[in-house]
Amino acid sequence: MQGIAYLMILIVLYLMAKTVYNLKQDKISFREFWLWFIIWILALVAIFTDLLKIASTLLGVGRAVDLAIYLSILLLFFFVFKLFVRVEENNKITTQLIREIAIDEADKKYNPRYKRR
Amino acid sequence: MISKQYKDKVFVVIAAYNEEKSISKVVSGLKKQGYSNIVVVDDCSKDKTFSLIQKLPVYALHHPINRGQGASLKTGMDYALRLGAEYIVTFDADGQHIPCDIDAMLEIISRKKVDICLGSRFLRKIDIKNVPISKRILLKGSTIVVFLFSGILLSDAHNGFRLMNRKAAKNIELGDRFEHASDFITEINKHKLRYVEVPVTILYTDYSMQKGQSIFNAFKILFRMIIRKLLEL
Repeated sequence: MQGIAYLMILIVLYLMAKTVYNLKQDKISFREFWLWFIIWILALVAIFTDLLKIASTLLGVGRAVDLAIYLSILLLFFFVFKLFVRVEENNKITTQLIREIAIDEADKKYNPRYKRR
Repeated sequence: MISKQYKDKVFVVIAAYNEEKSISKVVSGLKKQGYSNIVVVDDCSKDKTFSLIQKLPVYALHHPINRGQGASLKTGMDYALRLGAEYIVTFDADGQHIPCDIDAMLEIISRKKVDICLGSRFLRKIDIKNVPISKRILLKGSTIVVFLFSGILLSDAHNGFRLMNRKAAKNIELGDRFEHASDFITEINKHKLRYVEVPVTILYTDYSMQKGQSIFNAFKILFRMIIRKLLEL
């Protein structure tokens, strides 16, 4: 691998860290975060071709491209899982909100000493 | 014989979704049995369920967005607790349950000093005969799955008929959709609640069979249970 590749890897890693930081600071949405993250990973894979070759030989995977596919699938599984967690969290919040509304409305109707919570 | 005073401590919670055909009959059956505290939670039905329950002598609650049976039951339970319920019954809206079974549960919960009575259709031979074969297989499979998740082996893990005391109702957290039936069992184990299974009769009508769980739904529930277990790790 040439010197320029190492430099590019460092730049992409910096950009990835910056993307994570922006998400934590709420500067970008979750959707934007994944979009950028995938782009940086694709960039890394492109730069890493040589490294992938070495890694695939070490791991006993025939071709570098096969290893890239395996890693991508793993990564996709991880994304789906993270999305599922996020959806579950949102569902919980929605249910809590709907429950509060339903109970508050019932209170208004059946409790003569009703006070908005 | 359970006194009227004792029955007044009981709140019956019914989750209703598109139940305009059966809800009035279910409510009048409970009233006839002497249960006057009834909380019906309409889960954003597409039919006239909500306008119908508003005219009935019940506490009518309404979810403005559909959230599932488990979410509706929890809403009803929370509301019943606010009203000072000592005991809470979860009862189906499709007419599958018989109100006089609540009497038996009440008697048992006070005599055996347990926190929760779980209805079971597999404790009496006559009740087992009522259960269609396909349901029997599905339900027995679900008891094994629930055992693997909760460590509690029941004869009928997916029975919607339960009676619990205030302590149990306060502690139990439920998932939104149909996995709530399994949640009841895992929560019993988590909070070390004392439980007992009580024989109940389930009436299988064309209407209730149509509304019941399919094999496909069972797999959906299983999938959600596995994912949620993974999230807990």
